[in-house]
Amino acid sequence: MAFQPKTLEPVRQQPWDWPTKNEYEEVTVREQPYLHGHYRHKYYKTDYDIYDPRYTRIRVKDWDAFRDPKRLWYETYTMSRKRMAEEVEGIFDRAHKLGLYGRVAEVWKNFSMDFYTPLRHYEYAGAVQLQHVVRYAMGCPIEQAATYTAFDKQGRAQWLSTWALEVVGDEGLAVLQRGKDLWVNDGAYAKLRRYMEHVLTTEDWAEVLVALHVAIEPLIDRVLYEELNQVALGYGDVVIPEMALICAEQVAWQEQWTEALFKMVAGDPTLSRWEYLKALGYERWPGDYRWGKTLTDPRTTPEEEKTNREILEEWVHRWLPPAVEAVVSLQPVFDRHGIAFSVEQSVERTLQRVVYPRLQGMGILFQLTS
Amino acid sequence: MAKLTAGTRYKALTRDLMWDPKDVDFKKIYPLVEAEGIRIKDPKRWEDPFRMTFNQYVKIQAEKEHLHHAIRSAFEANHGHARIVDSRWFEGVKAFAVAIQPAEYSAHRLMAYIGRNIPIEAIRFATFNQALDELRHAQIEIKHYAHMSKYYDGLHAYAKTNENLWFNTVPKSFFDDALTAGPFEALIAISFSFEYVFTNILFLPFAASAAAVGDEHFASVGKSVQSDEARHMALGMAALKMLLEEDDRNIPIVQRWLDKWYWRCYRIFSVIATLVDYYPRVRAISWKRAFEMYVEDQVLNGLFKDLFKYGIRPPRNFEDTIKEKEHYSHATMRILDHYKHANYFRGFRLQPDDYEWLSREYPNTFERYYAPFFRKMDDHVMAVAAPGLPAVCAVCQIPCEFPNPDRPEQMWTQYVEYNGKTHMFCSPGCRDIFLEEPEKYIQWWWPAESYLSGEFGPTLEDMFEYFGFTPEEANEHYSSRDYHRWIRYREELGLDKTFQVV
Repeated sequence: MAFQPKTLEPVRQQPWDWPTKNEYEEVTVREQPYLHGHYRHKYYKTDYDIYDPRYTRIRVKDWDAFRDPKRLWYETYTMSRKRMAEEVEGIFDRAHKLGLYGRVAEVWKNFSMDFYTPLRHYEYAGAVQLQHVVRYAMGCPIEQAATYTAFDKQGRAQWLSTWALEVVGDEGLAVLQRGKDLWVNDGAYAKLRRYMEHVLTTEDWAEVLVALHVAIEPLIDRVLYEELNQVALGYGDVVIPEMALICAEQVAWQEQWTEALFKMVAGDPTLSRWEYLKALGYERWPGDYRWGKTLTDPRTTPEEEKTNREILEEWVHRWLPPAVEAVVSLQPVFDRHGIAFSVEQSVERTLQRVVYPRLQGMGILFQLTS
Repeated sequence: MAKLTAGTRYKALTRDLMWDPKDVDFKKIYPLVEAEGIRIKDPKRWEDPFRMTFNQYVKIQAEKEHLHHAIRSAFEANHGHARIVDSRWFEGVKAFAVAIQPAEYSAHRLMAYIGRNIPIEAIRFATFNQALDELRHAQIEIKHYAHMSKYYDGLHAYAKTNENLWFNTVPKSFFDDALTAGPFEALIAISFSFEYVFTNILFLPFAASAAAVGDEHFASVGKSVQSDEARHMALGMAALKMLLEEDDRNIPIVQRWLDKWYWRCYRIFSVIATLVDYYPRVRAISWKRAFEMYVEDQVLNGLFKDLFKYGIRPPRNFEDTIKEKEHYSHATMRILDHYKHANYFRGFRLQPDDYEWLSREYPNTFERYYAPFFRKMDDHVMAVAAPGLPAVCAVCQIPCEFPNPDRPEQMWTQYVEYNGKTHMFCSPGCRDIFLEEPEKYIQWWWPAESYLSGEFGPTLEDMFEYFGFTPEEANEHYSSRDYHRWIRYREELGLDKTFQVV
């Protein structure tokens, strides 16, 4: 760099008193205030603060230490999703111009409408409960990743809908209606629907992430956006596999950041939920003068007794078996259309290749006993 | 391509995605839906006014980001901060930075809360777009301050400033108030009262001032943010009409919220009034005229006339906001000058052109009530600094130093006894808000009480450490190191030269 006069030099090299390595960290770290919320909720958890570590059972020594491996912030998120949106539109446009839908075998067409349209409800339910995570998770780094993931899920629900409208033209609305009817009333979807309803009533935001991104989604998204690609091509459908490749990119990221988060959590031996205040520079904080006066004292809430790893283990035990059951029970949809695909085998492959190794990475030994 | 109309297509993509749960109780998924007494009969008929799909959203927003960050990069690369007409502008930008930017972030979390808890898909899709927008605003604003912070004081520990400083309790308590309300109240508070009624006056005059003084980056922040606000305003209007039309029993509840949030919004805009009237050396418009245009004409005389048919009357105490328009920015600037030794952005000694402009724009009030106060600083810039801690309003948390607009030589301060304690308020507007929900407002965090309880540590140094800045970063601008650095920086670039043509 050329000589720069001293008067033009910045007075500090880093914008903030806390170190940041890149633009993502500049706009992400210390965004959420941790102290001195003014009021407590009028209707929900009336003894909790606005940003309160008690919204989850897990504890970490620094909530702001989590980093999204892809470092997405609003600029990079919208830029990358713009590309994906244009690619998806391009796929539909080419399919229409080349008459690709006409080359798809009837049997696959009927199956795919019965399979892909109900699953837009699954994506949407995930998006809804992630908004709960966005509100209650601790710290901007975690909730920011949840925000973009929720938006991705809404996007995928819309892409699945667009696809249905494209395939069947004027009958599109009826197909979506039928998809919803299957989702609500067909026995093959009952367990998955019930699973998502239980996710929607889960209050611990970290548990929601386990239920969605550790348990059910790796299993079902492998079927939806990866393993059916070859089958679809066999029936002359190139549209679904091309769209699935883009969805798989989003899904890979959502699993990647969730894995990074729970690795951090599982390896964190912190036992006090108030430990994180030290990392924020409040090591000598005596507490809030209102505690015990106008507000209850949050320190009187008993500490969680289990370690993070034990809590995660408990959650995996709670969510993974019904997740496997819910996905495997989709098999009749394939069978009734004569599509040769074993969901059970797909789930088994994903468990062995993806889910178990990932859990091992978090120090969690888990095997389903079939 | 299917022959569906755009409207039908949009509906197909964004409606009917949620189902009536079969294995769990609806109220377990939506535990807050009945808490506030709002009744919803047929929410399906409500339309999201902007019809924005995922694809449209990311394409439009990525384009906006691209343009904005190009302007930012050019500003940063070409010494943009040295090219503005007067560096005191940055003191105003600092105020905006540490007050408004965290508010954007709170709004982000808040919109997710609303969308999660209101079981109406049209509303939810719009609120979730807005949740992303608010994160965008927080980030494009913080990028401006990240660059400024390398050259100017006061911003480098903004998170601590936001958590602990008295000044920040004003916007923070506002958003905390909405975050702790039920989801429908939060929707009316932010989408209608804040966005629909006040957001024009927040971003348009301030962006115009930024452009007038030559802060091209901040002008772009303002305009780019405002382009999203158009969507938020439309949501606010749709949400309000929906609640009013769904059930007559909603009307008194909504009226109560409009009363509360109109005044709540109006009060946090006091600082915006100083950012319009005082900090820019070249002014685009006065607070008084902006208020007349955006609030009196458009909202009070326009919108509330339309709402009359629902049985909605103009918000309580709205006459006071009109009366106060000739005093607002001056009274607020006086407060800021009183406490500028304990704030992260500085006051400044008014210059002859300031006196001239303020007298001309405010012929009835400025010379008579306020100029003598500011002239006290001619000999010593700290002459008006108030010793001790301010008594602040228990609702808006601004020091109780607003004059009664009917008798400007007297303070407007109000007192209420509640549960054996006396509570102070800056105005009848804030007092009335307290009386509606005293149990909520007695919870407020008052930094002075925290300080006296020892939370800030034993010494003044500890206190400033807690605030996130040092005493040198406070006080008056033209006698500050920021100003002197800025002058030297300009000299180095040759920007101090003036050229004559003969």
